[in-house]
Amino acid sequence: MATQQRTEERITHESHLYRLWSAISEPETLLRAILEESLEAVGATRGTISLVDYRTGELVTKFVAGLGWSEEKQELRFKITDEPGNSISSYVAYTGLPYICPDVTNDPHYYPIFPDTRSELAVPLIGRGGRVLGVLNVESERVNAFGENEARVLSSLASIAAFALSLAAHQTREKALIELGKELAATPDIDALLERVTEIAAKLLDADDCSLFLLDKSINRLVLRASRGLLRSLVGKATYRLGEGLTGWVALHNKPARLNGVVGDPRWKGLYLELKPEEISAFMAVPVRGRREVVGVLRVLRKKANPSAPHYLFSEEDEELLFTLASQLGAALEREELQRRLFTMQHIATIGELAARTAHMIGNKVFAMKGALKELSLQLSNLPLPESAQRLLTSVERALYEVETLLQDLRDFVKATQLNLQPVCLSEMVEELVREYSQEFPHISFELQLDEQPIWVKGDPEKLKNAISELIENSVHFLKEGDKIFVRLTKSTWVGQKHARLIIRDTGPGVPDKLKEQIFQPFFTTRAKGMGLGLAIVKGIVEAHGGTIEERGREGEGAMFIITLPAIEPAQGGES
Amino acid sequence: MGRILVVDDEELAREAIKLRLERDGHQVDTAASEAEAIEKIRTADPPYDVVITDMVMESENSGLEVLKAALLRDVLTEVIILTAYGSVANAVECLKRGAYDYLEKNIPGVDVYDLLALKVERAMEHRAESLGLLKRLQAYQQPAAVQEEARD
Repeated sequence: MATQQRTEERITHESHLYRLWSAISEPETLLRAILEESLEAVGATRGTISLVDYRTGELVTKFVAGLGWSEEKQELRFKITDEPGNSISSYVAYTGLPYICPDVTNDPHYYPIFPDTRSELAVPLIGRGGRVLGVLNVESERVNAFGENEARVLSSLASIAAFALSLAAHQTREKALIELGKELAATPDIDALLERVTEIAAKLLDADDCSLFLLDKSINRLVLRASRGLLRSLVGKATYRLGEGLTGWVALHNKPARLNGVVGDPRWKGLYLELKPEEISAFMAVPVRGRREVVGVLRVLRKKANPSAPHYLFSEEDEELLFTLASQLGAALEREELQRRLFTMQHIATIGELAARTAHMIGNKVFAMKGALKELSLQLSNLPLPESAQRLLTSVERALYEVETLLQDLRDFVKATQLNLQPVCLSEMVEELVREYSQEFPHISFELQLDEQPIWVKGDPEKLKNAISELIENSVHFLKEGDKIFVRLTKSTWVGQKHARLIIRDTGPGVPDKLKEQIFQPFFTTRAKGMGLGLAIVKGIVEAHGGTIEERGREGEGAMFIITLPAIEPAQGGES
Repeated sequence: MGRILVVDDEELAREAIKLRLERDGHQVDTAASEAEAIEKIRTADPPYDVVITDMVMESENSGLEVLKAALLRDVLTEVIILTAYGSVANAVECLKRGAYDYLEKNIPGVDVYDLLALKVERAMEHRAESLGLLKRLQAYQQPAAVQEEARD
């Protein structure tokens, strides 16, 4: 018998749980039910649940119970403040504490809506992180209708309501995140995808603007890639250095920033603004992280509804959400980058193969032409030939040799990108090269600066050596007696990723500004010797290693080449 | 002078080499493909002294096939491999398999035809030396060879 009773109890209990569950999944139904329940539980005649509109700093009535509610009365909004006369609910939203009003006639906060109201009880709906989401308010036609007991009962009902609201918000966000995840995987156009991320972030976080900056490694700057409002026209143009402004700070330190307003924050630079500084109610930025490093910054802003409106702050939950969005984006970008590299590599391989075949065919033809030309000049040598004809023969021959030189350069270029990777101690290699060159060119003084710890990279030792040699020889070519070459190898660890950074600087004439863009292009040279594949090959080698190269010197002050290569941990036994 | 076979699928190249070597007094045959070359080598009587063959013709390894045929016909035939861009690795393989030398067709600023003529000259000398050595060896081993025959 006892068992049967227990079973029945359990069934009742479970069906009750089920009802509760279906109510939770429809928060409106649940809130209405809670309001009705509240009236009954504390013996009130009317009641409201009103919610905070953070944008305007007002309390807005959402649900009403009891008699006499006209549309006009339901549409009342109250400023959230401790100033008198703004309604008891608004005062509770302001303090976050329950409030018992035994008699409205003498209450400074009371705002008359119904003439028969005598006493009121209001409790806050408190969400995660102590944030006031709204207020549950009940009233009575009797004086002194509510005491501590009623306040306790109402508070526990209010906590269920707050939970339902939080859960509903959470579910909305979760749904949006799942949707975004699907979109990220399916959107082929990266720019459309970035736009979409800012759109969703703004919507989910109730933000007025959202901007996305991504790190452009070639210039080492954060570049605006998507934005919604004022900054839209600056996409691709607005940039931050790492560490510059709040956005640069977030990228450099790989940490989020969440503040109310921005005026007064020492990190704030105000270089590119979605809003006027005084209009910003709240600012939040999180790093977009790739697998190994920060690849960008996602930032959102809320605007003040009016100058006197309170700050509408981003919560911890908001930060978590933005982080989740950013990490989904980071993963998507990484996939994209991987595909792009793969594509580039395949592209290079295809071009390399095509170049090799073409060079082979041309080489064969040139060989034949050289032979025919030789026989021709031999046969002509027995005839009286005018000098001009002789000159023509010579220039044809010279042109053929030039074609062969081009073929050779082409071969070098194709070979440069075919790597045999292994751990390489870059410090050792650089030291050795500098030693060799300082012996070979005694008229130039070399200055070498190395980190104490040896720096290792994964690379093709031969190709890396060629690249560095080419840079040094390139410098030497432009230097006079007494000039200097500074070679410096350091490990830089910005944004969590370890890089070997090799700087080769000289005191020569430097690279003219108008040539800076061209020096790494194939077949560009200001030197007499060679066809000018030197720096193009260096760039090819460095990029095939996943590195970057740039020239940052000033015209007239000397050239400065900076190579970065992803560093690895020292090979075993390599420390000694 | 020597009996030489020049193998190249580029007609102009064949003719140019032929002319150059004939000037040095060699007797030069030509073949335009691996197949034609192998046929000519097999039926040549006496065998060629020197075979000059392009590396890449019908296949990447055409030169290697010509080399094999030449050595099969006469193990002392000297083979010189011609390579255009990119086929040096195959040429090295040929050297391992018994080619006398190889020559890159495109060396900027170098008269590769004169270089080829020089290499042919040396190959001829090498072959003459080898033939001389072989004769002496045969003369030395004559009695032993007779005994070997008897045992067979």
